[in-house]
Amino acid sequence: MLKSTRKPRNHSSIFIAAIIFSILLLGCGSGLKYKREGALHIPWHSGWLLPRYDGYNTGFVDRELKLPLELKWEYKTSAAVTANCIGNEYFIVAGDLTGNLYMINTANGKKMSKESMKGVITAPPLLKDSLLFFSTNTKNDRFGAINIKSGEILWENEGMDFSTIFSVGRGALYIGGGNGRIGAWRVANGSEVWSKIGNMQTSGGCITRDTIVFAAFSNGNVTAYNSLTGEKLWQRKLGAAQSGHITITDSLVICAGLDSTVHLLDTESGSEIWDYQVDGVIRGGVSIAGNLCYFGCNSGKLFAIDIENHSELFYFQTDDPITTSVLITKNKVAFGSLDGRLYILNRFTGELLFQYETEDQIISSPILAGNGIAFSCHNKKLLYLYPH
Amino acid sequence: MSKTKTFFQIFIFGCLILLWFHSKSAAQYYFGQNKVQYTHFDWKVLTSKHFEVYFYPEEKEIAEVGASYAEMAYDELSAIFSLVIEDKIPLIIYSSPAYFTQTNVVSSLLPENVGGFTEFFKGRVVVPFNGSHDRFRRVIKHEMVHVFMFNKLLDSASMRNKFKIAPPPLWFVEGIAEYYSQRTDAPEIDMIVGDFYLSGRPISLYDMYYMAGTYFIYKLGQAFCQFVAEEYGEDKLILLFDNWLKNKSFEELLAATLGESFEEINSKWIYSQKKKYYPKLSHGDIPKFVAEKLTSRGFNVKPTVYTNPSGQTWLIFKANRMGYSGIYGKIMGQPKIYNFIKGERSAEYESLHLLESSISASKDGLLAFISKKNERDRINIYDIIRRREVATIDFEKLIRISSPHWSSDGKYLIFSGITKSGHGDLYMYDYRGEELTQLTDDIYLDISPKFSPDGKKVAFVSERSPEGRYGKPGIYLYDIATGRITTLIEGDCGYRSPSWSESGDSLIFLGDCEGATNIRMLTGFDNQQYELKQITDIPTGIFDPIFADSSIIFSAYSEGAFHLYKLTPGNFDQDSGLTFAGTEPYFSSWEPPSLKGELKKGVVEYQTKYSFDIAQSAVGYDAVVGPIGGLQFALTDMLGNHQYYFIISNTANTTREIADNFNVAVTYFNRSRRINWGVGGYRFKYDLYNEYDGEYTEEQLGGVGYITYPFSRFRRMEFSLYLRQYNKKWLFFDDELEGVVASPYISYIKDTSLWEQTGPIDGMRLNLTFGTSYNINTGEPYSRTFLGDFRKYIRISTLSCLATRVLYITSGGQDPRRYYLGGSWTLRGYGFRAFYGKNVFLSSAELRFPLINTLLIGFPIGNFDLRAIRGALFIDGGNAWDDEYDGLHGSFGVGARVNLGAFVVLRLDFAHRTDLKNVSKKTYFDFFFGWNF
Repeated sequence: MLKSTRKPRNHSSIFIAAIIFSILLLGCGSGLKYKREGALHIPWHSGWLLPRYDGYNTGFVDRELKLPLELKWEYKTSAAVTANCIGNEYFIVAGDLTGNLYMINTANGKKMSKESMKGVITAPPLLKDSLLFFSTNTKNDRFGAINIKSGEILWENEGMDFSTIFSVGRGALYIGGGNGRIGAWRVANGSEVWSKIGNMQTSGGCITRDTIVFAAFSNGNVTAYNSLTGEKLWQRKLGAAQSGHITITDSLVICAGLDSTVHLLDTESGSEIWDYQVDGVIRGGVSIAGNLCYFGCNSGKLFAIDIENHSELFYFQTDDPITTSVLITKNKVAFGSLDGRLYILNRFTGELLFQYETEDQIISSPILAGNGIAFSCHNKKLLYLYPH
Repeated sequence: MSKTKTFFQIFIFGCLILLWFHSKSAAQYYFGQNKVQYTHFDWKVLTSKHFEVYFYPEEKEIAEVGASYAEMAYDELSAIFSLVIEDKIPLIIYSSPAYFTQTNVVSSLLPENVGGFTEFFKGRVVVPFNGSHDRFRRVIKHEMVHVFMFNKLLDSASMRNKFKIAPPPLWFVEGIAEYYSQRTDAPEIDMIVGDFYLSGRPISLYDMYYMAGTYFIYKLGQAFCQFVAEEYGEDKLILLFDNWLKNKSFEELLAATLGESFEEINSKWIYSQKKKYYPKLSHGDIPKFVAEKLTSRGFNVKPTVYTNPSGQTWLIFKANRMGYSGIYGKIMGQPKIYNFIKGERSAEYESLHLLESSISASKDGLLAFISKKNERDRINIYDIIRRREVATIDFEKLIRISSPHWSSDGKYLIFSGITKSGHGDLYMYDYRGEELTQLTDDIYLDISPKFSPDGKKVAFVSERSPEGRYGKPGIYLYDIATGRITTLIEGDCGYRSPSWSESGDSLIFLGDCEGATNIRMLTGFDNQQYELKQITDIPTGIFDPIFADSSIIFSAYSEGAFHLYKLTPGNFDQDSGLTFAGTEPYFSSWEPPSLKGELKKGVVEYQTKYSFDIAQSAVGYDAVVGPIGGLQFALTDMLGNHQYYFIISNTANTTREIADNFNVAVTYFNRSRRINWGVGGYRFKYDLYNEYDGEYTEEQLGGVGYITYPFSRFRRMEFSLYLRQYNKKWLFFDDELEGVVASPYISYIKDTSLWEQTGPIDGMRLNLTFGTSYNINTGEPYSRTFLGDFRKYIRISTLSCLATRVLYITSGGQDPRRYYLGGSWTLRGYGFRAFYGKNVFLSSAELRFPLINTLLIGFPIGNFDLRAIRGALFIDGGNAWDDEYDGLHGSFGVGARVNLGAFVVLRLDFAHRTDLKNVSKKTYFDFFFGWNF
């Protein structure tokens, strides 16, 4: 009589399978995206994500934007997002007016993380390697750095009304507050390098280049400080509060504000080289590529001016005020208006190449994240448009 | 059931009922003046890019112009505030102030000086057109600033998920609206702000908070915004709104935005105004130092003179001396002032248009002045010698009339008239032939006409120049024979109030080249050798100048009041350096804007669409039963002509009773015409207690109808009919009254009262009501009630009066109503509801007087400021009885009242009781709230 017998288990194969699985798990661990609330986690090599692509706030990206675009996703935030986002092909980081910092997957618009900073975020965040720098105002006024790997706040400093753009360079973070205090703090631990008081709100933000930090204030002053010591190098008084964020090039400081005028100052001396007045206050700052500046104003016009020839190249009229700054690519400019449309023009001729109608006013400056454009609307939605 | 519990239920229910009755309109209130809808409008809606403009056909042209001005204001303000308003803004336009005061958008009566308003619940902007395009444009823009500011703050908050905004102080709200809508130094700023400083009352920013509700805040606020723009930069006004939500208070906001502490800003503000106004005295004068002051009390304007056959010269003028406007006269050189006409207390003189219309006396002693009666203005002719009115003249096509002026032969009257379409032109009336002739017929406002002494020409003020369009009118001459208009003077200054000399060779008028208006004199009409001189330099401004023989009489604002002054020839300033170009033919120069292209969307009939108007809850907590709640809300249409009111409450004592104890009332009111009417249905059930019935339950299910007919602003009849299934069940008597009951009521109400901070101070109030209730099946009467409440206020001085009251109520029948007496509101010195019966009698006399102007109490956490504390000496007497009257209960004592703001008046009374034979030794004390009777 034949008997069937069960073969004994081979425990060693299970053991090997477990080891392999564990190795795989560990190996992929750093690539897994955590969705745990309260911590921002991003892929390892994030690079440097700046508010406007370069450390000088030019708004220029030396890539091309393909058209036409279509809506790839939209994401509803808890409150409106007015500061421009930062992003790349993997993720987009945005801060809203109740202090939430979001990380959204660029590919599919899903939330990767959300951190509550409990203050109002009106300045765009800044990401370098594993440090995410943020600032808040209105309540819990502070600025600091978050270790994005752990989600832990590395350091934070309290103060007053940090509501405008700040910058990082040479190991320091340069930021100004509502009480006129401006200074430099070490990015590693937040300790103060230097700080000065004497002006009003840094309504035009701070930008650093080499060993100089430039700041624009609500009393119309534009000031240059030695970034290492805080020594004032020069100061120029302009007509009104500087409300658009300051932009710098090799030789120029460009600012604009509530006097409806764009001012070009020499970086070395602060002397005014040229100014150009338009018919509405300029809220969104000036973008520059080469010798062409682009900016929108409250009369609803988008202006392109040639700073070499000191002339107007063109203007484009929208239906409502433009309060955000302009994204410049190789051949195009993109901007949003309170009329709810995203406009893309030929940046040399002003020809309208594409427009996208949203449901509500566009209130944050568009950014290029991967191959698409991200911006936010008054109805508390983040939109991502991608080439069709 | 405890009395406390029942009382509380009644209290809450009573509040709801009071809210319900109060919400209906002033006309359904116990007293109150009436908003009369004299005119029925056939409303249409014009849609533009950002607005829905509500208008009627007669004013279509004005509606389009208004829409254009609104779109222009929208574009400008959208850029200033960086704000887009998505929903169309409702803009309701009336072609005359007379129509504007009839609006139902708000239920309260609108004072005459309200130039427009914005209502924030539905975002409605309501403005009148008074003929002036400049004023129309400015008022629309002023209201639009409110719309933008309100929306900006709301929008900023909602983007941050905040639902509470700290509102800005009223002086800033009105000031910034004036600043953005006027944009130039208005003469009124010099008048108001300059006077504060030049009369030794420098106004600080702290003081401005106490001026809410006065015209001062408009100009002080505007001056402050101008100061910020000049001292810190106009961009700072924009920055204020950017920073709004970052700061806890307005003072913090100013400090953060301007970069200095509030104290420093205040110091700079005061200093800047001193620097601006003090130097004006180096060349200008305070009127009392250069002219003879002719009046000493009140608000005195619009003088005219008349010399009687015996050579006495009368000065006749309009004034507001004790809260009511009137026309007064005095013999020059004598102190006594006679009150010829008492305004604002009767339908004939509902308004005398104190500041808008001048008066004129003919050589025959006939005074012509304008008053509003019912829907329209009319001309009144008053015989100065016999002191009586002799004629009234009104014209059906003219809604508004102003500034009548007699020709020197007394045959003609010339005046400015505004039709239903809103256009203001000159008209001439043949007084004897009773014939009206229209002299001008165009879109430009023509006002202040004055016959030349020879009767051949008329000097008048008009906005027809390019500068006039923007608030700088000129003076023109109209030739009666040919109808030709020539330009006398126009330009960058505003010119107003022309007045001829007796010989006709000189003309005086006002010019505002220096800011405040001052007198210029143009001579040489006899020989065309013209010379122009400046006669006065009063930094706070002069108004209404007239020749009086060789003197000039005028009104001037100084030390917080308007007074009349006389300038004698020796005091005329000869040095002016002014040039006069001579008269020129006039050519029409501007057209009003119109909606073009994509701005204009279309016109449709008005449709009644309802939306929420008010919603409020009344919630109370009873120590025995716990929370008791109720809800009232209203749905109204855009114009407020159709209103639905809903009340829901519950008076259950236990959860099992909730379903059975819902009280619901729904009422519809139609206010679109003069007769206001309403219908409603309700279901009430409540458990009650009183000393007579004990505990009982009353349940009513039925309907009600109302009709209100206002005779005028001051008098009305009210009718109401309740028809209901009625059930009353006594708990202890085991008895029940049931049936279908009808209760008709009729009331006559008259109210001419004038109010101050704690209650009425002048005028009278009367309510006579009679009603009955009967079972309509059996004809059995249940009850009949008569109420008579008469109150008279005899003015003694500006802030004091003797207030008297007589109240009588009687109720009879099978189930009479019973009423309470006792407590702070009725018979003082006795407990609340101490007396109770079918019959009530109460009589009171109270001397009201000012006690303390300002009381500042310091606490560790801050100061507490009480203003306008009033005192009272009173005597009350009355009783409530069923069948046997058992004598008078009296009391007398002293009291104090203070208004804490909004509608809360605190009252404190100390009284002794008396039966007219004995006086109690004990002093009884009442501390409660409520207006004076």
